[in-house]
Amino acid sequence: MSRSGLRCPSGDTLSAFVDGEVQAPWDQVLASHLQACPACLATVARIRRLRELLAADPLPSPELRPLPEGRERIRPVAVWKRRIALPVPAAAAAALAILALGVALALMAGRTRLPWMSIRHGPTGTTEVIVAAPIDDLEQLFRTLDQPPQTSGLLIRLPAGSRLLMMGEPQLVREADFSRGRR
Amino acid sequence: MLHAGSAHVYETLYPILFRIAYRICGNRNKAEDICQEAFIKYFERGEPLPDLEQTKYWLIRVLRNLALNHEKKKSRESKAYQRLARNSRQYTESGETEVLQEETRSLVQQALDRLPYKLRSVLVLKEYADLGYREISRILGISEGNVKVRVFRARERLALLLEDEL
Amino acid sequence: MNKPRLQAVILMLVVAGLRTQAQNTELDRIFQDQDLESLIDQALQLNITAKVLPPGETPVWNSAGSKVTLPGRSVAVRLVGDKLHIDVVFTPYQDANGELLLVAQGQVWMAGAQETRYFTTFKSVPVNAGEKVLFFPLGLSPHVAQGDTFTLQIEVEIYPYRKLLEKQKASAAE
Repeated sequence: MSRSGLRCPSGDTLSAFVDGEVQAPWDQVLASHLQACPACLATVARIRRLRELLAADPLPSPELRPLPEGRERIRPVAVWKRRIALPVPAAAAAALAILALGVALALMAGRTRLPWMSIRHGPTGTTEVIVAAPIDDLEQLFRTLDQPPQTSGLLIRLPAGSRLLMMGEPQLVREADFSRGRR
Repeated sequence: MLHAGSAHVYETLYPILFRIAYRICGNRNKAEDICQEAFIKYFERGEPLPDLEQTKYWLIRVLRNLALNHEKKKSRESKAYQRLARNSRQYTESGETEVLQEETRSLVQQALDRLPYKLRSVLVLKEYADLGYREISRILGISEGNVKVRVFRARERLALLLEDEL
Repeated sequence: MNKPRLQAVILMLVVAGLRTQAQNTELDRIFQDQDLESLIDQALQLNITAKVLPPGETPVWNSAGSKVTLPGRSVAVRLVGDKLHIDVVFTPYQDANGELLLVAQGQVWMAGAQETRYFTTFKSVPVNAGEKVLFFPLGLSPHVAQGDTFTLQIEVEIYPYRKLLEKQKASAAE
């Protein structure tokens, strides 16, 4: 019983009050009750602290995967006789990656604004970005980009000193088709 | 199925959906899976919903059903897993370095996971989806009074579990 | 459809277990479990080989590995060189008829003297079990014969895991 003689509201009403779910004029009634009742005030404070604790708890960050295309697109039967072209949504995910890369490259090159960057979207699902800023250490770039350590994947070290260049559009082909083409 | 606005819907709503899914499931990979599943269902339904708010509510409803199914599967799976885990220790020396890693969950998430599903799902929608009682009652198909009581009970239990942090 | 990561990891534990013959009876009991059985039925093993091919096409170098996965679950491959960093994510999909689709998502970073280049690509190809697929993250040059241009090639073979298990059991029994 509060000093004013009014009965204390139930716990769920106090909880609703914290959520702003108590309608006028009862919210005013409750507010003045709280001024006179330390027990209810303490309850409300506890709920508020709990809410803050919940809100402040950090999330593991989601990785934006390529947009799911829907079951029909992924498991068609007739369609699989030809190559499936990737539609716009995957490019959206790639665009996000490019933006992140651009910012990271700018930081690495010591520029405060985005460096000159050219982006070219190829017709067959390849996007090329060229940034006019040399980077000495690619490993450091990846730490900046916060790449996951890929512990569930395969890590392959390329032979030292090998000169590998970008020669053209990346290709994904069945070996059978490839050999036939080369002959 | 997929249309001009799809990427925007996906990118805007995915983080919110993920937050809700993770808080309900307590497992990041499962949360990602059910988020993907929810979006696939949305894109498969044909006509896109008129605005982002409606789309969000629709997705949350689907998410909550998927999470409920996951809840039910969890007990079945954990039996199989436990039997394997008992035998797994002897396998870790044999070359494959992949060992089951318990995801590190925060104290808050551990406490959330200990709530019964009915209380947890309502509280998550209140605290992490930023929804009002009326919206929650519509999404879950229960009365507002019910929402109020569940939120309260969830908070009571959490307060006990997280006593030291409060 | 995507399966929980927990189940994929259980599968990897099972793979580890197979290397120790002595534990076979334990494994047999575990394999009675229906959930695991159906998982193993769906599992796919990806054999991945990276090769650097000089103009003569006899590889000067290769590196291989394999991963067991489930349809819809990706396998990541990272290739690291001096001024080159390539991330490829391979995802196999399988329909009810057993037909497979391999999706390759590649990202390439190349550090040059004057500039840094970044490429991202997304390719897919239908494939049969046991067939080899070739992925060229840096593309192919029509003029491969000249100079010292090397080609980077990643081979992927997809096998139903169940079949590999049966082969292993058969050879162990001999």
